[in-house]
Amino acid sequence: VKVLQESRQRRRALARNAVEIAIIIVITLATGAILVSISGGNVLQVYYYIIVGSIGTLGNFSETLQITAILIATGLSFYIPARAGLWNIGAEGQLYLGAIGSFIVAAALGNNIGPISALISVIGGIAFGAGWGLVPGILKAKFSVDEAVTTLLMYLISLFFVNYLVSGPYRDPTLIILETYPVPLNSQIPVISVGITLGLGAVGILLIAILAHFVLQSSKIGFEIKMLGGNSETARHMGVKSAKLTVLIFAIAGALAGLAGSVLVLGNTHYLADNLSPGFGFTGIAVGALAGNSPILIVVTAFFFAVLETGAGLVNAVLGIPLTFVNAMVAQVVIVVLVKGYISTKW
Amino acid sequence: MDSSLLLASLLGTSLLQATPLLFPTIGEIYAELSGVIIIGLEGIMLVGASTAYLYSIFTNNLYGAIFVGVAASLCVGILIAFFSVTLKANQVVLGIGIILLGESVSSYVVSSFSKGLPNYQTATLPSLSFMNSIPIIGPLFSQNALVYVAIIVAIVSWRILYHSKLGLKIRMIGEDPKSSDYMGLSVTKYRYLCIMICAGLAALGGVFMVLGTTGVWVDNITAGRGFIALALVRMSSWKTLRALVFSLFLGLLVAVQYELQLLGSPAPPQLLQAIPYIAGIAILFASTRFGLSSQPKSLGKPYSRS
Repeated sequence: VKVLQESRQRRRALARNAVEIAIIIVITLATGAILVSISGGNVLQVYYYIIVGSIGTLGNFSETLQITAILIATGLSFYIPARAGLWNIGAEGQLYLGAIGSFIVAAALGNNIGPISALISVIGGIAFGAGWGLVPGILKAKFSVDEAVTTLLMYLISLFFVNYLVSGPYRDPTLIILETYPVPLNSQIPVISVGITLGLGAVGILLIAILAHFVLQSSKIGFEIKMLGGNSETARHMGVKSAKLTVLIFAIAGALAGLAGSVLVLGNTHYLADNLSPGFGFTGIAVGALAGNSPILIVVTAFFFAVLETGAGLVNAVLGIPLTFVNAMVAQVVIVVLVKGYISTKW
Repeated sequence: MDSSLLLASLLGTSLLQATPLLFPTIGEIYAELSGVIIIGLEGIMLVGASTAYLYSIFTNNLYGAIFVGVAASLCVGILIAFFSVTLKANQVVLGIGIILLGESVSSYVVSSFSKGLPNYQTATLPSLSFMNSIPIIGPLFSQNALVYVAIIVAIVSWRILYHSKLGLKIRMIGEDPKSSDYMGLSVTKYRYLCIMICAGLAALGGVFMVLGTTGVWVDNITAGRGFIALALVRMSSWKTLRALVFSLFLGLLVAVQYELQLLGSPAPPQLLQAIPYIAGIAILFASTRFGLSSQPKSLGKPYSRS
C-alpha cells in the first residue's frame, strides 16, 4: 500500500510540475513577443517561422531532436549537481572540452580502424569533459573553493583552448574562417533514418536521461545526492561521504556536458570551431532549472528550448531579427523559475 | 624598444586593464560583505555598457551616457535585490539568469537599435594629459578620468567598509543577520543598499569598456571581466585595498602578455591570454588552502525572521 501511495504522490508531483512548466512556457512566449515588437517585428510571423523552422519539415524536425538531445545532456549536467546543492555553471566549458577531446581522438585515429573509432572518440570526449569538471569538484570537496566561481573561470579558459586548437594545430588552411578540417568519416556518429534521421548519439542521450531519472528518484546514490542538497550536516551524520560524492557528482556533470560536446562535433557539425556551441551549456541551466523535482521532465523542457534554438535560425534568416532574442527568453526562464520556488514555499 | 618607454607603456596598459576589473570587484565586496553574492556582475556590466554606448551614439553626450548606463544597471540591481532579498531566491541561479539576461539583451538591443547607423564608433572619454611630459610616470597620469575614479573608489570604500559605522553595520549583517536584526538594523534595507552600490559600480566597469577604450561595441564586450571580479573578491579576502593591488597585478599580467605578443614570443597567444584566468584559480586555491580568507558567514543565504 505504501509503495502505491508513494507512486501516486510522485505522479501527482509530476503532474504539478508539468502544469508549472506549461505556465512558465506561456510567460516566456509572451516575453519573446515583447522583445520582438521592440525590434519592430511581427510577433505572429516570428512564432510561425519558429514552428516551421523547428518542426515544419522532417529535416528540421530531425535537427530539433538532435539539439534536444544535446540540451538534455547539458541540462542534466546542471541538474544533478543542483540537486546536491552544488552549482555547475560551467557546462559550456565542459562541452567544449568534450568536443575538443572527441576531435583530438578522432583525428589521431583517422580512418585506420573501422566505425568503432566513433565510439572511442565519444569516450575520449566524455573523459575530457569529466576531467574539466573534476577540477572544480576537487577544489570544492578538498579545499572548499567556491564552485560557482571556478566553473565560470574554467569555462573562460576552455574558450582559449579551443581557439588555440582551431587557429593552430588543427586548422583547415584552405578556409578563410577559423575551422578545423572535418572529422574523419569513421569517427562520425552514424544515424538511423526512418523518415526522420536520428543520430545514435541522440538515442544514447535519451536512454541516459531515462536512466538518470530512475537513479535520481529511486536508488541509494540518488537519495544521498538529495540528502547532500537538503542538509549537508545531516547527510554527514547519516554516513554520506560528502567529499567523495561531490567529486563524483562533478565528474558525472562534466562527463554529461562532454558527451553533449562530443555528439555536437561528431554528429552535427563534423568540425571544430570556436563558435561551435551557441551557448548550449548555458541553455542547459534553464532546461535543468525548469524541470523542477522530476528529472524526466528535462526531456520536455529540452525539447521546448530546442524548438526555439532551431526555429530562431529561420526567423533570423527570413525576418532579420537578431538571434539573441532566444537567449533573452532562456534568461527569463531562469529568473521566472525562482518566483515559482517562492510561491511554493508560501503555499 | 627603449626600456623606459617599455616600462611606461606597461604601466599605462596595466592601469587601463585594471580599471574595468576594479569597479565590479569593489561593488561585489559591498554586496558580499552584506551577505549577498552577485554572480551576475557580467550581466550588469553588459547592460551598463550597451545602454551607455547607444545613448552616446545617438546624442554624443559622454557624461550623459555614463549616467544612463549606470541608471540602466541600477534597474537590474533593483531586480536582483527584489529577488535575492525580498523573494529570498537562490542567489546562484539568479546570478546565472542575470548573466544570460545581460549578454542577450545587450546584444539584442544594440543590434536592433543601431541598425542602419553609419557611425558605429562613439567618442571616448578624453585623457587627462596635463602631466604627460613627465618621463616614465607621465603616461600613468594621462588616462581618462574613470581610471582615477576607480582608484579613489577603492580607497574611499576601504574607509567606509572598515573604518566607519556604516561599514560596521554592513559587515555585521553579513556575518550574523539574526543578531543584527535583533539589534534593530534592517537587514533588508542594508542589503538593498549594498546591491545597488554593487550594480552602480559594476555599471561603471562596463561603461569603461566602451567609452574608456575604443568606443566600439562588440557583443560580450566585457569578455568575462565580471567573472574575474568574482575571483578577485576572494583573492583579496573582501578587502578593497588588496583588490586594488590584485587588479593592478592582473592588469600587469595582461600588459606583459601584450608586450610578449608584440615581441614575437614563441608561446601561443591563447596560452598567454589564459594566464590571468589560470592565475585566478591558482590564487583562489591558495587563499582558501592557507586560510588567508574567510567569507562572510551568511554569504549566499537569504535571511528570514522565522
